[in-house]
Amino acid sequence: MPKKTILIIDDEEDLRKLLKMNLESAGDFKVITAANGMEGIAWAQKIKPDLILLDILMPDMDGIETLKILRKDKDTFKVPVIMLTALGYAPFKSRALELRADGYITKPIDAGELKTKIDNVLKGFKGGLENG
Amino acid sequence: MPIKILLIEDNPDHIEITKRILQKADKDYQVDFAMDSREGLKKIFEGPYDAVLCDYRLAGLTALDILKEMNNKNKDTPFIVVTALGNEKVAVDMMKEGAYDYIVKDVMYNDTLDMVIKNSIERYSAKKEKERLQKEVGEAYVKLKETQGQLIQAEKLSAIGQLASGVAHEVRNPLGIILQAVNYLEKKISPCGQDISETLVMLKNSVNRADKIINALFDFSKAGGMELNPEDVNSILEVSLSLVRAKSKFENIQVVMETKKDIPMVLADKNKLEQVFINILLNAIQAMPDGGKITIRSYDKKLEESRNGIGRREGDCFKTGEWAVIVEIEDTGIGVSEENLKKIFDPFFTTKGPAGGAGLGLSVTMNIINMHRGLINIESYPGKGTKLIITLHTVNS
Repeated sequence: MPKKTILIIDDEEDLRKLLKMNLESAGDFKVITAANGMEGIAWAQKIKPDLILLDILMPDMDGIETLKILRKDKDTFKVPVIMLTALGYAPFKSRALELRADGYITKPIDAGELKTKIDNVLKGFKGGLENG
Repeated sequence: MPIKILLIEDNPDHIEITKRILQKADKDYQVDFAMDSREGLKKIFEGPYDAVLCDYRLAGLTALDILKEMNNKNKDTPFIVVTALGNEKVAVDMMKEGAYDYIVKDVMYNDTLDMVIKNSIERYSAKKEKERLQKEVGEAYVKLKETQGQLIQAEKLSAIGQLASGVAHEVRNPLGIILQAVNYLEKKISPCGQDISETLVMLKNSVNRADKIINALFDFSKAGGMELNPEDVNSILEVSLSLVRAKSKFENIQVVMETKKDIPMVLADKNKLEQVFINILLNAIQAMPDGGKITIRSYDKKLEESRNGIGRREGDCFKTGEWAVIVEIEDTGIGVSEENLKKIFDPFFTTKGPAGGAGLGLSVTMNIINMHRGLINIESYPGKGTKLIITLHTVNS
């Protein structure tokens, strides 16, 4: 079975690196990373990933804005997106839900929980907007 | 307006003379009289009189005794002593005891009596007005202090709200990195020695602890979003207790439920009230490391006594005479010292040490009760236990 491609869009460089290392060492994924929304959209259009992990609070273009553009683009509108956030802030969650986000995880993220969440979303099971 | 005078005088001729003088001076005078001191004293207390005119030389009790008796019983009525010529020293002594004025039975008596009485009445009114104003100023000061306290609290909350978002973002990102790094190391150096795996567990636990503090900060600063519905306080208490039982050890802890059946519904946000009861129950358990008893009471009560938060003042949560639902959670734990009791609802105040929590539990609790426009009070005795008393509005109120 070919490895699934995951695009991580997060402005924290160390977190990008570690998430990539953990997901790739779990064996099933190939991970591409982007440091901001614009770069992330460009990668998404280019590689059409199987899933996107998208940070909400980023400078310049935040995750909600990025998701809006991803959902309008013919190449990316169907790609499952899990939102990453440091804020358990309800308006963000409802906005992400409106934009058809497939999941919502509050940092700090445990590698095991993230893997389960990704597997579920890839299987087409939407675990709602809760953690895990 | 009639001016009611009580004349205490044992000489009937003098009574007659005084009556005539007064009625001539002003038609509004209504003169009542007592012919001995005991009757006079009785009438003073039956009153009210605008002024008492008392002859110094009376059989039995003297005017001084009458005045002292009035002072003992806090009876304040303008009291004027009538003395014979040459007895002014006595009059001065009486003034020291609180007589309003004195008048000498001499040639000036006729002309000055009316003025002396009216001056005394005026002084009495001025004194009462001063007392009223002083009381008002005192009350206004207390109110000002209370408002100032509430403002400071509100400012603290708003500052903490802003802080919470900032802290959450700034701290959760590095926490996320630490956790991911621990996850990575766990995989890469496995199998590893016990000391390394223990160290990694410590790292993870610390991340969780820091994350819990951020969650508590969020809870604390969440002021809005209340969903008020008619709720049965007893079922919320039962759910909270079962949630706490699931989370904590109840070793040697006896729980006694003294909840009143058919208690009126309260207007409350169920989830938030659950959080309140859980916080208090967890505190109670922590206060009884060697076991003990938790008593949970609920009842409805007519609030008769005016006290902080109950009364007719603006800003009071309850009106006197209003029915309310009371919840009490009492433990037999270590209790709280008087000094700590003053700070117990302050944000970040804790006696549990760094591992015990952020010190936000009871301030979140108070916040939630305030949002319900309810009251929360604490009674505690070191070594005996602590009781939290929550007063909530019934649906009907």
